[in-house]
Amino acid sequence: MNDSEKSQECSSYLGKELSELLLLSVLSSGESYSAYKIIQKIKEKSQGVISFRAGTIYPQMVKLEKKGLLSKRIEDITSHAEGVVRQKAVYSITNQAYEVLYQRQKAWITLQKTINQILQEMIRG
Amino acid sequence: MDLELSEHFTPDAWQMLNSFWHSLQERMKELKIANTQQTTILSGIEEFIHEFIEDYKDRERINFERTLELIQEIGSPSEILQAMDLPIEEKIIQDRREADIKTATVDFREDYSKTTQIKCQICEWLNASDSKFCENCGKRIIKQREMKKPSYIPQEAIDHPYIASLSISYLILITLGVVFHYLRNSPSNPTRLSHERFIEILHDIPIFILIPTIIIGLFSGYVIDHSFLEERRSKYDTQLSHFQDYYSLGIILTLISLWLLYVYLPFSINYNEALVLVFSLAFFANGIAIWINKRNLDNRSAITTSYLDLLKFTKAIDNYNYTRIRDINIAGSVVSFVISAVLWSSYDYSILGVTAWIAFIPMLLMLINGIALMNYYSWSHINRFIAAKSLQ
Repeated sequence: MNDSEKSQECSSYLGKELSELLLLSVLSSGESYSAYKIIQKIKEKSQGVISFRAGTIYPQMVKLEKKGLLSKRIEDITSHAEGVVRQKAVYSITNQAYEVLYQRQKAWITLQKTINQILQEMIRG
Repeated sequence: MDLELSEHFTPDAWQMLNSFWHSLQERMKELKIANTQQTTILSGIEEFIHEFIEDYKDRERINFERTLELIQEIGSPSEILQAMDLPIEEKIIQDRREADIKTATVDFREDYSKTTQIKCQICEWLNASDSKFCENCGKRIIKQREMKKPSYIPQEAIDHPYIASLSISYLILITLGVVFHYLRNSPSNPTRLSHERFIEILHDIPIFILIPTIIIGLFSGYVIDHSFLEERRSKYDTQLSHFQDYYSLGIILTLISLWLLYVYLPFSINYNEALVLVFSLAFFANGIAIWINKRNLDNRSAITTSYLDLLKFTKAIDNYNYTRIRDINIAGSVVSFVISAVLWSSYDYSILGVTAWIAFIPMLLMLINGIALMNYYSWSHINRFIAAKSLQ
Protein backbone atom coordinates (compact mmCIF):
# COMPACT_ATOMS: atom_id res chain seq x y z
CA MET A 1 0.00 0.00 0.00
CA ASN A 2 1.58 3.31 -0.98
CA ASP A 3 1.49 6.51 1.07
CA SER A 4 -1.54 7.88 -0.74
CA GLU A 5 -3.53 4.72 -0.13
CA LYS A 6 -2.47 4.61 3.54
CA SER A 7 -3.54 8.22 3.93
CA GLN A 8 -6.88 7.52 2.28
CA GLU A 9 -7.48 4.49 4.47
CA CYS A 10 -6.66 6.38 7.69
CA SER A 11 -8.66 9.43 6.67
CA SER A 12 -11.69 7.29 5.93
CA TYR A 13 -11.78 6.21 9.60
CA LEU A 14 -12.29 9.83 10.64
CA GLY A 15 -15.91 10.71 11.16
CA LYS A 16 -17.22 14.23 10.89
CA GLU A 17 -16.87 14.83 14.60
CA LEU A 18 -13.25 13.80 14.62
CA SER A 19 -12.55 15.86 11.50
CA GLU A 20 -14.04 18.93 13.17
CA LEU A 21 -11.91 18.24 16.22
CA LEU A 22 -8.78 18.24 14.11
CA LEU A 23 -9.79 21.42 12.28
CA LEU A 24 -10.44 23.27 15.52
CA SER A 25 -7.22 21.94 17.05
CA VAL A 26 -5.10 23.32 14.23
CA LEU A 27 -6.68 26.74 14.69
CA SER A 28 -6.51 26.66 18.49
CA SER A 29 -3.06 28.26 18.40
CA GLY A 30 -4.84 31.52 17.61
CA GLU A 31 -3.41 31.86 14.11
CA SER A 32 -5.63 32.41 11.08
CA TYR A 33 -5.26 30.01 8.16
CA SER A 34 -6.88 29.40 4.83
CA ALA A 35 -8.48 26.01 4.27
CA TYR A 36 -5.55 25.08 2.03
CA LYS A 37 -3.06 25.83 4.81
CA ILE A 38 -5.17 23.93 7.35
CA ILE A 39 -5.06 20.84 5.12
CA GLN A 40 -1.29 21.25 4.69
CA LYS A 41 -0.79 21.62 8.45
CA ILE A 42 -2.79 18.51 9.30
CA LYS A 43 -0.88 16.58 6.67
CA GLU A 44 2.41 17.87 8.07
CA LYS A 45 1.57 17.18 11.72
CA SER A 46 0.30 13.70 10.93
CA GLN A 47 3.32 13.09 8.64
CA GLY A 48 1.06 12.40 5.72
CA VAL A 49 -1.12 9.86 7.50
CA ILE A 50 -4.18 12.11 7.56
CA SER A 51 -5.03 13.97 4.39
CA PHE A 52 -8.26 15.89 4.06
CA ARG A 53 -9.86 16.43 0.70
CA ALA A 54 -10.47 20.09 -0.07
CA GLY A 55 -13.94 19.43 -1.37
CA THR A 56 -14.99 17.79 1.90
CA ILE A 57 -13.30 20.23 4.23
CA TYR A 58 -15.02 23.32 2.84
CA PRO A 59 -18.55 22.16 3.71
CA GLN A 60 -17.31 21.38 7.23
CA MET A 61 -15.75 24.84 7.56
CA VAL A 62 -19.05 26.37 6.46
CA LYS A 63 -20.92 24.34 9.08
CA LEU A 64 -18.47 25.30 11.82
CA GLU A 65 -18.87 28.93 10.81
CA LYS A 66 -22.65 28.61 11.01
CA LYS A 67 -22.34 27.04 14.46
CA GLY A 68 -20.29 30.05 15.54
CA LEU A 69 -17.12 28.06 16.14
CA LEU A 70 -15.14 29.64 13.29
CA SER A 71 -14.96 33.15 11.95
CA LYS A 72 -14.00 33.99 8.40
CA ARG A 73 -12.08 37.00 7.18
CA ILE A 74 -11.36 37.96 3.56
CA GLU A 75 -7.83 39.13 2.80
CA ASP A 76 -6.36 40.65 -0.34
CA ILE A 77 -3.17 38.94 -1.40
CA THR A 78 -0.85 39.34 -4.36
CA SER A 79 -0.48 36.12 -6.29
CA HIS A 80 3.08 35.85 -7.61
CA ALA A 81 2.18 32.95 -9.88
CA GLU A 82 -0.74 34.79 -11.48
CA GLY A 83 0.48 38.36 -11.12
CA VAL A 84 -2.85 39.63 -9.83
CA VAL A 85 -4.36 40.64 -6.50
CA ARG A 86 -6.98 38.16 -5.42
CA GLN A 87 -9.02 37.52 -2.34
CA LYS A 88 -8.42 34.71 0.09
CA ALA A 89 -10.62 33.53 2.96
CA VAL A 90 -8.83 32.83 6.23
CA TYR A 91 -10.42 31.22 9.24
CA SER A 92 -9.82 31.63 12.93
CA ILE A 93 -11.34 30.02 15.95
CA THR A 94 -13.89 31.92 18.05
CA ASN A 95 -13.84 32.19 21.83
CA GLN A 96 -16.93 30.03 21.99
CA ALA A 97 -15.05 27.27 20.14
CA TYR A 98 -12.38 26.88 22.84
CA GLU A 99 -14.85 25.39 25.31
CA VAL A 100 -16.29 23.09 22.66
CA LEU A 101 -12.77 22.06 21.65
CA TYR A 102 -11.81 21.27 25.24
CA GLN A 103 -14.90 19.10 25.74
CA ARG A 104 -14.33 17.22 22.49
CA GLN A 105 -10.66 16.65 23.23
CA LYS A 106 -11.60 15.18 26.63
CA ALA A 107 -14.19 12.94 25.00
CA TRP A 108 -11.72 11.77 22.37
CA ILE A 109 -9.00 10.96 24.88
CA THR A 110 -11.49 8.92 26.92
CA LEU A 111 -12.72 7.14 23.80
CA GLN A 112 -9.19 6.46 22.62
CA LYS A 113 -8.23 4.91 25.96
CA THR A 114 -11.33 2.72 25.96
CA ILE A 115 -10.81 1.47 22.43
CA ASN A 116 -7.13 0.75 23.05
CA GLN A 117 -8.09 -1.20 26.16
CA ILE A 118 -10.60 -3.30 24.26
CA LEU A 119 -8.19 -3.97 21.43
CA GLN A 120 -5.41 -4.99 23.81
CA GLU A 121 -7.74 -7.39 25.62
CA MET A 122 -8.73 -8.90 22.30
CA ILE A 123 -5.11 -9.36 21.32
CA ARG A 124 -4.23 -10.92 24.67
CA GLY A 125 -7.36 -13.04 24.66
CA MET B 1 -18.90 29.82 -12.73
CA ASP B 2 -15.79 29.21 -14.84
CA LEU B 3 -12.21 28.67 -13.88
CA GLU B 4 -9.94 31.13 -15.68
CA LEU B 5 -6.71 29.26 -15.10
CA SER B 6 -5.87 27.57 -18.39
CA GLU B 7 -2.52 29.31 -18.71
CA HIS B 8 -1.22 27.46 -15.66
CA PHE B 9 -1.95 23.98 -16.98
CA THR B 10 -0.94 21.91 -19.96
CA PRO B 11 -3.82 21.47 -22.44
CA ASP B 12 -4.66 17.89 -21.51
CA ALA B 13 -4.43 18.71 -17.79
CA TRP B 14 -6.63 21.76 -18.24
CA GLN B 15 -9.23 19.81 -20.14
CA MET B 16 -9.40 17.27 -17.33
CA LEU B 17 -9.64 19.92 -14.62
CA ASN B 18 -12.23 21.90 -16.55
CA SER B 19 -14.29 18.74 -17.11
CA PHE B 20 -14.13 17.97 -13.41
CA TRP B 21 -15.19 21.52 -12.55
CA HIS B 22 -18.16 21.54 -14.88
CA SER B 23 -19.16 18.05 -13.83
CA LEU B 24 -19.24 19.18 -10.19
CA GLN B 25 -21.44 22.15 -11.06
CA GLU B 26 -23.79 20.00 -13.11
CA ARG B 27 -24.15 17.57 -10.22
CA MET B 28 -25.00 20.41 -7.87
CA LYS B 29 -27.63 21.74 -10.27
CA GLU B 30 -29.02 18.27 -10.76
CA LEU B 31 -29.52 17.90 -7.02
CA LYS B 32 -31.05 21.39 -6.85
CA ILE B 33 -28.57 22.67 -4.33
CA ALA B 34 -29.20 26.31 -3.43
CA ASN B 35 -27.16 28.79 -5.44
CA THR B 36 -25.64 30.35 -2.36
CA GLN B 37 -24.48 26.99 -1.13
CA GLN B 38 -23.08 26.13 -4.54
CA THR B 39 -21.20 29.40 -4.73
CA THR B 40 -19.74 28.95 -1.27
CA ILE B 41 -18.37 25.49 -1.95
CA LEU B 42 -17.18 26.27 -5.47
CA SER B 43 -15.47 29.47 -4.33
CA GLY B 44 -13.68 27.51 -1.65
CA ILE B 45 -12.49 24.89 -4.10
CA GLU B 46 -11.44 27.55 -6.58
CA GLU B 47 -9.42 29.23 -3.84
CA PHE B 48 -7.81 25.88 -3.07
CA ILE B 49 -6.77 25.57 -6.71
CA HIS B 50 -5.31 29.09 -6.67
CA GLU B 51 -3.21 28.25 -3.62
CA PHE B 52 -2.13 25.00 -5.23
CA ILE B 53 -0.92 26.96 -8.25
CA GLU B 54 0.83 29.45 -5.97
CA ASP B 55 2.63 26.60 -4.25
CA TYR B 56 3.67 25.01 -7.55
CA LYS B 57 7.00 26.71 -7.89
CA ASP B 58 8.24 25.05 -11.09
CA ARG B 59 8.43 27.20 -14.20
CA GLU B 60 6.57 24.66 -16.26
CA ARG B 61 2.85 24.41 -16.58
CA ILE B 62 1.17 21.92 -14.29
CA ASN B 63 1.05 18.62 -16.12
CA PHE B 64 -1.60 15.92 -16.29
CA GLU B 65 -0.23 13.79 -13.47
CA ARG B 66 0.02 16.69 -11.00
CA THR B 67 -3.44 17.85 -11.97
CA LEU B 68 -4.77 14.39 -11.29
CA GLU B 69 -3.22 14.65 -7.82
CA LEU B 70 -4.87 18.04 -7.40
CA ILE B 71 -8.27 16.60 -8.28
CA GLN B 72 -7.67 13.74 -5.84
CA GLU B 73 -6.87 16.29 -3.14
CA ILE B 74 -10.10 18.12 -3.90
CA GLY B 75 -12.14 14.93 -3.87
CA SER B 76 -14.70 13.48 -6.24
CA PRO B 77 -18.07 15.21 -6.75
CA SER B 78 -19.74 12.35 -4.81
CA GLU B 79 -17.51 12.89 -1.78
CA ILE B 80 -18.03 16.64 -1.88
CA LEU B 81 -21.79 16.31 -2.06
CA GLN B 82 -21.82 13.73 0.71
CA ALA B 83 -19.84 16.10 2.92
CA MET B 84 -22.60 18.68 2.42
CA ASP B 85 -25.05 16.48 4.33
CA LEU B 86 -27.61 16.54 1.58
CA PRO B 87 -30.38 13.94 1.49
CA ILE B 88 -28.85 12.20 -1.50
CA GLU B 89 -30.24 8.82 -2.40
CA GLU B 90 -27.68 6.07 -2.32
CA LYS B 91 -28.60 4.99 -5.83
CA ILE B 92 -27.78 8.38 -7.27
CA ILE B 93 -24.40 8.28 -5.54
CA GLN B 94 -23.68 4.84 -6.93
CA ASP B 95 -24.70 5.77 -10.46
CA ARG B 96 -22.61 8.86 -10.35
CA ARG B 97 -19.52 7.10 -9.11
CA GLU B 98 -19.17 5.54 -12.51
CA ALA B 99 -19.66 8.89 -14.18
CA ASP B 100 -16.91 10.33 -11.97
CA ILE B 101 -14.48 7.76 -13.27
CA LYS B 102 -15.42 8.56 -16.83
CA THR B 103 -15.04 12.27 -16.17
CA ALA B 104 -11.68 11.81 -14.51
CA THR B 105 -10.31 9.86 -17.40
CA VAL B 106 -11.18 12.40 -20.03
CA ASP B 107 -8.31 12.18 -22.39
CA PHE B 108 -8.63 14.33 -25.40
CA ARG B 109 -6.84 11.74 -27.45
CA GLU B 110 -9.42 9.16 -26.41
CA ASP B 111 -12.17 11.48 -27.59
CA TYR B 112 -10.85 11.34 -31.12
CA SER B 113 -12.23 7.88 -31.69
CA LYS B 114 -15.56 8.34 -29.98
CA THR B 115 -16.97 11.64 -31.11
CA THR B 116 -16.70 13.93 -34.06
CA GLN B 117 -15.10 17.10 -32.84
CA ILE B 118 -13.10 19.89 -34.29
CA LYS B 119 -9.61 20.51 -33.06
CA CYS B 120 -8.43 24.07 -32.77
CA GLN B 121 -5.20 24.23 -34.71
CA ILE B 122 -3.85 26.98 -32.51
CA CYS B 123 -4.14 25.39 -29.09
CA GLU B 124 -5.32 21.86 -30.03
CA TRP B 125 -8.44 22.19 -27.85
CA LEU B 126 -11.30 19.89 -28.86
CA ASN B 127 -14.43 21.89 -29.65
CA ALA B 128 -17.94 20.87 -30.63
CA SER B 129 -18.28 20.10 -34.30
CA ASP B 130 -20.26 23.25 -35.07
CA SER B 131 -17.93 25.63 -33.23
CA LYS B 132 -16.58 28.58 -35.14
CA PHE B 133 -14.41 29.92 -32.33
CA CYS B 134 -12.29 27.91 -29.97
CA GLU B 135 -13.70 27.88 -26.43
CA ASN B 136 -10.19 27.72 -24.98
CA CYS B 137 -8.16 30.37 -26.83
CA GLY B 138 -11.01 32.23 -28.53
CA LYS B 139 -9.40 32.11 -31.98
CA ARG B 140 -11.37 31.34 -35.08
CA ILE B 141 -11.10 27.68 -35.96
CA ILE B 142 -9.22 27.83 -39.24
CA LYS B 143 -10.24 24.57 -40.81
CA GLN B 144 -13.59 22.97 -40.23
CA ARG B 145 -12.59 19.39 -40.53
CA GLU B 146 -13.18 16.33 -38.46
CA MET B 147 -10.30 14.96 -36.45
CA LYS B 148 -10.41 11.24 -36.24
CA LYS B 149 -8.13 9.35 -33.95
CA PRO B 150 -4.85 8.72 -35.72
CA SER B 151 -4.65 5.18 -34.47
CA TYR B 152 -1.82 4.32 -36.83
CA ILE B 153 0.30 7.28 -35.78
CA PRO B 154 1.07 7.81 -32.10
CA GLN B 155 0.50 11.28 -30.75
CA GLU B 156 4.23 11.70 -30.21
CA ALA B 157 4.83 11.30 -33.92
CA ILE B 158 2.48 14.20 -34.55
CA ASP B 159 4.08 16.27 -31.83
CA HIS B 160 7.54 15.44 -33.12
CA PRO B 161 7.36 15.52 -36.89
CA TYR B 162 11.12 15.25 -37.26
CA ILE B 163 11.13 11.77 -35.82
CA ALA B 164 8.14 10.66 -37.85
CA SER B 165 9.34 12.11 -41.12
CA LEU B 166 12.93 11.02 -40.74
CA SER B 167 11.96 7.48 -39.77
CA ILE B 168 9.61 7.17 -42.73
CA SER B 169 12.15 8.70 -45.07
CA TYR B 170 14.87 6.33 -44.03
CA LEU B 171 12.59 3.39 -44.62
CA ILE B 172 11.84 4.70 -48.09
CA LEU B 173 15.56 5.23 -48.63
CA ILE B 174 16.43 1.64 -47.86
CA THR B 175 13.50 0.21 -49.81
CA LEU B 176 14.17 2.25 -52.91
CA GLY B 177 17.86 1.57 -52.67
CA VAL B 178 17.24 -2.14 -52.71
CA VAL B 179 14.72 -1.88 -55.55
CA PHE B 180 16.91 0.27 -57.77
CA HIS B 181 19.94 -1.83 -57.03
CA TYR B 182 18.06 -4.89 -58.17
CA LEU B 183 16.81 -3.13 -61.30
CA ARG B 184 20.26 -1.98 -62.15
CA ASN B 185 22.18 -5.16 -61.47
CA SER B 186 19.92 -7.96 -62.56
CA PRO B 187 21.07 -8.96 -66.05
CA SER B 188 17.92 -10.90 -66.84
CA ASN B 189 15.59 -8.10 -65.87
CA PRO B 190 14.11 -6.63 -69.06
CA THR B 191 13.51 -3.25 -67.41
CA ARG B 192 17.14 -2.82 -66.60
CA LEU B 193 18.56 0.53 -67.67
CA SER B 194 22.05 1.05 -68.82
CA HIS B 195 24.22 2.79 -66.31
CA GLU B 196 24.89 5.74 -68.56
CA ARG B 197 21.26 6.31 -69.43
CA PHE B 198 20.28 6.03 -65.78
CA ILE B 199 22.78 8.64 -64.75
CA GLU B 200 21.72 10.87 -67.60
CA ILE B 201 18.11 10.80 -66.42
CA LEU B 202 19.03 11.46 -62.87
CA HIS B 203 21.54 14.15 -63.49
CA ASP B 204 19.17 17.06 -63.72
CA ILE B 205 16.73 15.94 -61.05
CA PRO B 206 18.60 17.10 -57.97
CA ILE B 207 18.92 20.64 -59.16
CA PHE B 208 15.21 21.22 -59.60
CA ILE B 209 13.88 19.20 -56.70
CA LEU B 210 16.62 18.90 -54.14
CA ILE B 211 17.53 22.56 -53.85
CA PRO B 212 13.93 23.74 -53.31
CA THR B 213 13.58 20.96 -50.75
CA ILE B 214 16.61 22.23 -48.85
CA ILE B 215 15.29 25.77 -49.01
CA ILE B 216 11.85 24.76 -47.73
CA GLY B 217 13.36 22.70 -44.95
CA LEU B 218 15.68 25.47 -43.82
CA PHE B 219 12.93 28.06 -44.05
CA SER B 220 10.63 25.96 -41.88
CA GLY B 221 13.38 25.54 -39.36
CA TYR B 222 14.01 29.27 -39.45
CA VAL B 223 10.33 30.09 -38.85
CA ILE B 224 10.16 27.76 -35.89
CA ASP B 225 13.51 28.69 -34.49
CA HIS B 226 13.67 32.41 -35.06
CA SER B 227 10.26 33.37 -33.77
CA PHE B 228 10.71 31.55 -30.52
CA LEU B 229 14.09 32.87 -29.42
CA GLU B 230 13.25 35.26 -26.60
CA GLU B 231 10.06 33.76 -25.25
CA ARG B 232 11.33 30.24 -24.86
CA ARG B 233 14.44 31.30 -22.98
CA SER B 234 12.82 33.78 -20.69
CA LYS B 235 9.65 32.08 -19.69
CA TYR B 236 9.23 28.51 -20.73
CA ASP B 237 11.07 25.25 -20.64
CA THR B 238 14.21 25.32 -22.73
CA GLN B 239 14.17 21.69 -23.74
CA LEU B 240 12.48 22.45 -27.03
CA SER B 241 14.98 25.21 -27.65
CA HIS B 242 17.80 22.68 -27.22
CA PHE B 243 16.13 20.38 -29.69
CA GLN B 244 15.82 23.13 -32.29
CA ASP B 245 19.38 24.24 -31.64
CA TYR B 246 20.67 20.77 -32.33
CA TYR B 247 18.66 20.60 -35.52
CA SER B 248 20.11 23.89 -36.72
CA LEU B 249 23.54 22.68 -35.69
CA GLY B 250 22.99 19.63 -37.85
CA ILE B 251 22.35 21.81 -40.88
CA ILE B 252 25.47 23.86 -40.21
CA LEU B 253 27.60 20.74 -39.75
CA THR B 254 26.32 19.45 -43.06
CA LEU B 255 27.36 22.55 -44.92
CA ILE B 256 30.80 22.49 -43.31
CA SER B 257 31.15 18.79 -44.16
CA LEU B 258 30.34 19.49 -47.81
CA TRP B 259 33.06 22.10 -47.99
CA LEU B 260 35.58 19.78 -46.32
CA LEU B 261 34.73 16.98 -48.71
CA TYR B 262 35.33 19.09 -51.76
CA VAL B 263 38.60 20.42 -50.45
CA TYR B 264 40.23 17.54 -48.61
CA LEU B 265 39.07 14.21 -50.06
CA PRO B 266 41.94 12.37 -51.74
CA PHE B 267 39.72 11.06 -54.50
CA SER B 268 37.59 13.03 -56.88
CA ILE B 269 33.95 13.37 -56.06
CA ASN B 270 31.27 14.62 -58.35
CA TYR B 271 28.19 16.69 -57.65
CA ASN B 272 25.70 13.86 -57.18
CA GLU B 273 27.94 11.87 -54.91
CA ALA B 274 28.51 14.94 -52.82
CA LEU B 275 24.78 15.46 -52.43
CA VAL B 276 24.26 11.95 -51.19
CA LEU B 277 27.09 12.42 -48.72
CA VAL B 278 25.59 15.73 -47.61
CA PHE B 279 22.25 14.21 -46.82
CA SER B 280 23.75 11.24 -45.12
CA LEU B 281 25.82 13.44 -42.84
CA ALA B 282 22.96 15.87 -42.22
CA PHE B 283 20.61 13.21 -41.05
CA PHE B 284 23.32 11.46 -39.17
CA ALA B 285 23.80 14.66 -37.17
CA ASN B 286 20.05 14.91 -36.72
CA GLY B 287 19.81 11.34 -35.57
CA ILE B 288 22.48 11.96 -32.95
CA ALA B 289 20.77 15.16 -31.85
CA ILE B 290 17.38 13.48 -31.51
CA TRP B 291 18.92 10.62 -29.57
CA ILE B 292 20.69 13.01 -27.23
CA ASN B 293 17.42 14.80 -26.70
CA LYS B 294 15.41 11.64 -26.22
CA ARG B 295 14.86 12.33 -22.56
CA ASN B 296 13.61 15.78 -23.43
CA LEU B 297 11.20 14.40 -25.97
CA ASP B 298 9.87 12.03 -23.33
CA ASN B 299 8.76 15.08 -21.38
CA ARG B 300 5.72 15.45 -23.52
CA SER B 301 4.07 18.18 -21.52
CA ALA B 302 7.01 20.53 -21.95
CA ILE B 303 7.33 19.88 -25.65
CA THR B 304 3.62 20.13 -26.31
CA THR B 305 3.37 23.28 -24.24
CA SER B 306 6.29 24.82 -26.07
CA TYR B 307 4.71 24.07 -29.44
CA LEU B 308 1.47 25.66 -28.33
CA ASP B 309 3.32 28.72 -27.08
CA LEU B 310 5.04 28.82 -30.43
CA LEU B 311 1.68 28.93 -32.11
CA LYS B 312 0.62 31.84 -29.95
CA PHE B 313 3.74 33.93 -30.34
CA THR B 314 4.71 33.24 -33.92
CA LYS B 315 3.30 35.84 -36.25
CA ALA B 316 3.63 33.37 -39.09
CA ILE B 317 0.85 31.32 -37.54
CA ASP B 318 -1.65 33.69 -39.13
CA ASN B 319 -0.70 32.24 -42.46
CA TYR B 320 0.75 28.93 -41.45
CA ASN B 321 -0.42 26.59 -38.84
CA TYR B 322 1.36 23.91 -36.93
CA THR B 323 0.00 21.16 -39.14
CA ARG B 324 1.20 22.88 -42.28
CA ILE B 325 4.70 23.39 -40.90
CA ARG B 326 4.77 19.75 -39.96
CA ASP B 327 3.58 18.71 -43.42
CA ILE B 328 6.23 20.84 -45.10
CA ASN B 329 8.91 19.21 -43.00
CA ILE B 330 7.63 15.73 -43.71
CA ALA B 331 7.29 16.37 -47.44
CA GLY B 332 10.72 17.94 -47.64
CA SER B 333 12.33 15.08 -45.76
CA VAL B 334 10.59 12.42 -47.84
CA VAL B 335 11.51 14.04 -51.16
CA SER B 336 15.10 14.51 -50.03
CA PHE B 337 15.44 10.91 -49.12
CA VAL B 338 13.83 9.61 -52.26
CA ILE B 339 16.41 11.47 -54.28
CA SER B 340 19.18 10.28 -51.97
CA ALA B 341 18.05 6.70 -52.38
CA VAL B 342 18.05 6.93 -56.13
CA LEU B 343 21.48 8.50 -56.21
CA TRP B 344 22.81 6.05 -53.67
CA SER B 345 21.80 3.06 -55.67
CA SER B 346 23.29 4.36 -58.86
CA TYR B 347 26.90 4.12 -57.81
CA ASP B 348 29.35 1.56 -56.66
CA TYR B 349 29.40 1.01 -52.98
CA SER B 350 33.12 1.48 -52.83
CA ILE B 351 32.63 5.18 -52.41
CA LEU B 352 29.26 5.33 -50.76
CA GLY B 353 29.20 2.12 -48.79
CA VAL B 354 30.50 3.75 -45.64
CA THR B 355 28.14 6.69 -45.87
CA ALA B 356 25.20 4.39 -46.53
CA TRP B 357 25.87 2.61 -43.29
CA ILE B 358 26.39 5.91 -41.49
CA ALA B 359 22.93 6.96 -42.71
CA PHE B 360 21.48 3.64 -41.61
CA ILE B 361 22.55 3.97 -37.98
CA PRO B 362 20.50 7.06 -37.09
CA MET B 363 17.51 5.46 -38.79
CA LEU B 364 17.77 2.53 -36.44
CA LEU B 365 18.11 4.84 -33.46
CA MET B 366 15.04 6.79 -34.48
CA LEU B 367 12.97 3.69 -35.12
CA ILE B 368 13.89 2.42 -31.67
CA ASN B 369 13.04 5.83 -30.26
CA GLY B 370 9.74 5.82 -32.10
CA ILE B 371 8.84 2.40 -30.72
CA ALA B 372 9.81 3.56 -27.23
CA LEU B 373 7.62 6.63 -27.60
CA MET B 374 4.70 4.54 -28.78
CA ASN B 375 5.09 2.32 -25.76
CA TYR B 376 5.34 5.36 -23.51
CA TYR B 377 2.17 6.74 -25.00
CA SER B 378 0.29 3.46 -24.51
CA TRP B 379 1.43 2.88 -20.94
CA SER B 380 0.96 6.48 -19.93
CA HIS B 381 -2.63 6.29 -21.12
CA ILE B 382 -3.27 3.11 -19.14
CA ASN B 383 -1.58 4.49 -16.04
CA ARG B 384 -3.74 7.58 -16.16
CA PHE B 385 -6.90 5.50 -16.30
CA ILE B 386 -5.81 3.39 -13.33
CA ALA B 387 -4.81 6.46 -11.34
CA ALA B 388 -8.11 8.16 -12.14
CA LYS B 389 -10.09 5.17 -10.85
CA SER B 390 -8.77 6.01 -7.39
CA LEU B 391 -11.12 8.99 -7.42
CA GLN B 392 -13.93 6.59 -6.76
